[in-house]
Amino acid sequence: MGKNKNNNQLFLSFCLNPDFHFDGQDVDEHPILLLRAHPISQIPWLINGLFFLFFLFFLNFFLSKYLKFYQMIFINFFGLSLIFSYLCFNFFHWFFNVGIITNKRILDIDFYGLVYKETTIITLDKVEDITAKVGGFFSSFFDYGSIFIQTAATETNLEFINIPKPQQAAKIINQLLKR
Amino acid sequence: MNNWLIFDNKEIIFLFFKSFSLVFTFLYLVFCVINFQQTKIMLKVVQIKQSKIFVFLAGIQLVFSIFLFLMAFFL
Repeated sequence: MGKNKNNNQLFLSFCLNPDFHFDGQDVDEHPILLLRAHPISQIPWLINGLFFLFFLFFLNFFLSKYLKFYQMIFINFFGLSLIFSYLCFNFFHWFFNVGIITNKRILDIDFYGLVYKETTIITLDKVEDITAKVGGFFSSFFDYGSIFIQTAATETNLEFINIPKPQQAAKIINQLLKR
Repeated sequence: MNNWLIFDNKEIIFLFFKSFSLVFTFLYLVFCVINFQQTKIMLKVVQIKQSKIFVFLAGIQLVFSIFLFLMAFFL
């Protein structure tokens, strides 16, 4: 694992030995794997952004008949700002919705909407079973899928959805469990 | 009949535009303030070296939203 160092590439969705810290990290704890959704699963909001840009462009032809020049300028500024915010919002959520595997624990950090945050933490000794699933044409082609981590019956289960190389991630967790 | 009209068509469009632009830019401003705070929380949870990029992107949205609100107010 130590040989596969790509810790300077934090913008990756599968980052081995990442160089970062997280809230609540212990002194003797270090992140081994950082997971986030595969970039291919983020294409819908990028397409939406492009669609909104085209929509704004064609809206100019329609509205210019009814509105004054300065009003058109305002609408374009406002529209472009909204599109920029939409893209940033989705990018931030892709970037910060992460799964972190450390030498001690597995963390799943999720941000929903603007104000909701959920962090699920399980220690490695509580892990009972790991299932990696890859299904569908795109998933097989781009090698992404989901990992389901089960703990003892009454405790929380973890799932990392649409992560790249799910088999390899499951293998890394298994290696950590055997230590 | 025309004497009974308080506003002509252009004035109605102007008033409509003014009120909607004020309301929506204010909502956008609120969104950007919350988004800025949320970004700071996100960066507290996942502490990275490139945090300035995210603060800059969230901050620039906030600046845009203030600018747009003022623009809508004085238009």
